[in-house]
Amino acid sequence: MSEKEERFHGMSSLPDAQKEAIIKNEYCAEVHTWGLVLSLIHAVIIFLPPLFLLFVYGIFPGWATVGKAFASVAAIAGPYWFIEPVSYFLILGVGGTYISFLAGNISNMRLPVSAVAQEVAGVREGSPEGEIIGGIGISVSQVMLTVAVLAGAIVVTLIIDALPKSVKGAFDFLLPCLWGAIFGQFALRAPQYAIVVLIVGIPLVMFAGLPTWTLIPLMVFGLAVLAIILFKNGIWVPKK
Amino acid sequence: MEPEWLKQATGFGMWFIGFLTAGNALLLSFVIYRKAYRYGRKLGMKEQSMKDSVKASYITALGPCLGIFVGMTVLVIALGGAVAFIRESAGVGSIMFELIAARAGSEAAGVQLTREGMSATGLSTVLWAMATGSVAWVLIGGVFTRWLPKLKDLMGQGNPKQMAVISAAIMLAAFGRLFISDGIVPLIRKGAVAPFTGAIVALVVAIGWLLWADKLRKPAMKEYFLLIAIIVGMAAAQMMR
Repeated sequence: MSEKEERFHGMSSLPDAQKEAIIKNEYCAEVHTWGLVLSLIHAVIIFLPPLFLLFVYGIFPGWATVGKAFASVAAIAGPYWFIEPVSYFLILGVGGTYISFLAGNISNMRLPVSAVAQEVAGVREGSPEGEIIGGIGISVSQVMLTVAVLAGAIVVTLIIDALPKSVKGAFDFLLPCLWGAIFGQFALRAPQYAIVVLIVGIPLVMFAGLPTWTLIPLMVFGLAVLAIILFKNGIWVPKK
Repeated sequence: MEPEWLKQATGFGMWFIGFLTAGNALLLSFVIYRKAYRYGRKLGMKEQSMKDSVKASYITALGPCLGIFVGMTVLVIALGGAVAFIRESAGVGSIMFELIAARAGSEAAGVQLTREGMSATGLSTVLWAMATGSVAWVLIGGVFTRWLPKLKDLMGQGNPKQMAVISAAIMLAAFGRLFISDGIVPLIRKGAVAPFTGAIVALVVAIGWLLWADKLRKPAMKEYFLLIAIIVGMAAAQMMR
């Protein structure tokens, strides 16, 4: 078995058209129904904490104050409401997108979990098998997240006090380390694109003066278009 | 003595809402897990591949979960455990967004985001800010995801090989942007060596570990690559602080 075949050992031997049909017509159809219903229910659940204070204790700050607070949040988060689902969909897949936008922690948890699960299962990203493994991985991450957050909510203060300062301080660097490791994982897969990202991305992030929210879609769709053009012209096409 | 607003924020009612919120997210995860597994079998995928992905996901989620565990301290201290549980288990989760919303709410109410400075009205405003600020993600994700596969068809144009190349490029773009923002930019702008060191060490360890796993022909080793890379990277960054 070649190295490439070994890497993608989890791919099914069914014809591509048949696999696509199963995913689109059966799996996605069922997931869409559940995803829509539970997301709509969640949209109501999200308002229960302030409504609980209003109806049980009669506490309400007034619509003007709520509007002011909402405007401040919307000014920062607003663009991401639309950009994130579109930008991350190709990585998260259908099932992963529903969970991710209902329960959050996308870049710091869902994307890495989906990427590692697909690597270990030996499937290609963007394939029907990738959709399945991404869905499994992101579902599992929600179980871990719930346990961690529940434990955190109960004992976090005690644990934090007991941890040595040096250990506590190391968590300041969790995110850059996470991004570095995952970037390394995909740099192995497509080293040419990793170099392009660094050459284009550093000046873009540092000097273009663009709003932060534009950087994700610019880079994601810019690279996607570049990959399509190069692939069509037979440049940087993997041998297998 | 515990202030009145904190009693309301940490009472049974708020914890109950927390379990309801987390429960709905878990229900969706359970449904998708079952369906993915069922249709994975129908696709002819190997049982072992799917089992390996479950184990790898648990291990990979451990690092980010620890980060969330530590990061939510501020929220627990400021607003109590129940609110932190509601928002972190299945609110939006990003601690940065939650703190932005909490700050926006407390500012609008004219209170401070501390135990001493908070009030019942302030807490209510914070909760409204968090809810109104995050509901759009849930609605847009929930309603529009069914049309997003068309985007994938447009990109892949029915060619799985093309889709694989594009997917790898997209992952590099998404994580590259974060890697640059959190690892490289602080070094160039502020001379912050520690985050850069951590990011580079984690990158090198990840590549080394994955190549080593391929060389030894032990794919199971890959389950630990992220956890190992993060721990070594964080230790290196802390030493350079």
